[in-house]
Parts: sequence; C-alpha cells; structure tokens
Amino acid sequence: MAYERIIISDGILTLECGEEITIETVHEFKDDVEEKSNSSDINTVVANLSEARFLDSSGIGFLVSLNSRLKRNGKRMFLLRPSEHICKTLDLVRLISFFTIIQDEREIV
Amino acid sequence: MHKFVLEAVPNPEESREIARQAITILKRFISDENILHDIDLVLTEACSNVARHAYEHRADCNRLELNITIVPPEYIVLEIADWGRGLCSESIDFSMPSPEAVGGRGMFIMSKLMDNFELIKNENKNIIKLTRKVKEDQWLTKE
Repeated sequence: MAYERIIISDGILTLECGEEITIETVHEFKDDVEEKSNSSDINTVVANLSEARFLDSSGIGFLVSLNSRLKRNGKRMFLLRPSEHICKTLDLVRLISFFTIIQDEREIV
Repeated sequence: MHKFVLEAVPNPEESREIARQAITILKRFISDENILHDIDLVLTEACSNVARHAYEHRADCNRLELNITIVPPEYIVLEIADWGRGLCSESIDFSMPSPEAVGGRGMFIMSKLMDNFELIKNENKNIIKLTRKVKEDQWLTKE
C-alpha cells in the first residue's frame, strides 16, 4: 500500500515517498505536490526516497516534470537517500546526473 | 517447464498488481534479487502500456493477460496480451527521450532489461513477448 506525506517547513517542501513511486501511486500526490510547490513560500523541494524501493517510468516522469518546473521557477529540488534499486533505475534511463542526489538533509544550504 | 496465466483489468492499479503477483510466482524459482527487480520493472512498464494505450475507453470488460513460462535453468518468457489497438511495430521508439521528457521511457526500459522483444498479432490478440535468460546460479530450482 502506498504511503506518502508532505511536510512544509522553512520554505522546504519534503515529500516523504512510500515504498513505490509508480503508475499506481503517483496520481495520489502529484497534483498536491505541484500545487503546494508553486507557492512563493516554497523555494526547495526534497523527495525523500529512503523508504522507496521501486520506481517506474510514471514515477520517473513525475520527478522529471517537478524538477524541470522548479528549476524554471528558480527553485531547487533534491532526491534524498535513494536506494540502490532506485539509483539503478535512474542510471538505466540516464538520469542519475539530471537530479541532485543527497544523502543527508544537512547538505541543503 | 512451468506455465502460469494471470489476468487483470488494464487500469493503473491492476497493471501494477499483476506485476507484483508475477514476482511472487517467480520468487519460487529465481533467487537473484536484481533479476526479480528488472522483471518487476519490465512487467510494470508493459502492463502500464496496455492500461494507458491499448483500449480507447476504460472499461471493466477490457482484458490484460500475462502468460509466464519458466524454463529452469535457462530462461523465462513473459507474454503480455491485450485485445485492443495493439502496437504498430513501425512506430515503436526504443530510443531514450531527452532528460526533460516526462514520458516515453517504457519501451527503452523493456528493450534494455530483456534479451528478446517480440510483437505478435494473432487475429484480435496483441502480444508483447519478452524473454530473459537467467544464469544457472541465479535459480532456486533446476527443474
């Protein structure tokens, strides 16, 4: 079962992703994340992938779209602690360097 | 040789669920977690493709069928079938889209992770046939 949570604090929107980011789960939080990250109060989005174990092309499309839109608006996006399987999938579709990957929230300055 | 047939209504939820059910079956035969993850991803892409593109309208009478053939200790075959529009072999694009592209990665993922990719049209039935070789030491069973 998918479980996602959105936390907003000090201009940072953190999306706590569940175990899967897929065609099945993306629609549950996509609109909410996009709407909230459009707010002028938000300057950074962190997708916390530490619990995520599975990412498909629908999930990739969501992350790519969000990253591109935030960049266009002068905002930042980070992928936090993606697992080996998530990194392997991002590497397979040649997006591992497209995203800014961090292992610790303290890397956000 | 072992054969299994799974069926689903091609919508986002069931197309992901049928891939999960297939992995539960394959775990009885294959020990390698990376191969299981690859197959999970490929099946999710193939079944999602049916859910998104095969049928003009979403309806409970639409069908998605997955045939799994397991041949220890050599290979597995996955056949994903629908009775909708089907894919035109000439218009399929296996290339990688630009990094900013939101979609279009499914076919690339399937082609990269499987050893063989085949499109079959059998009257009204459209089949994507995917084959993956599995090394001898990656099986749980030899029969």
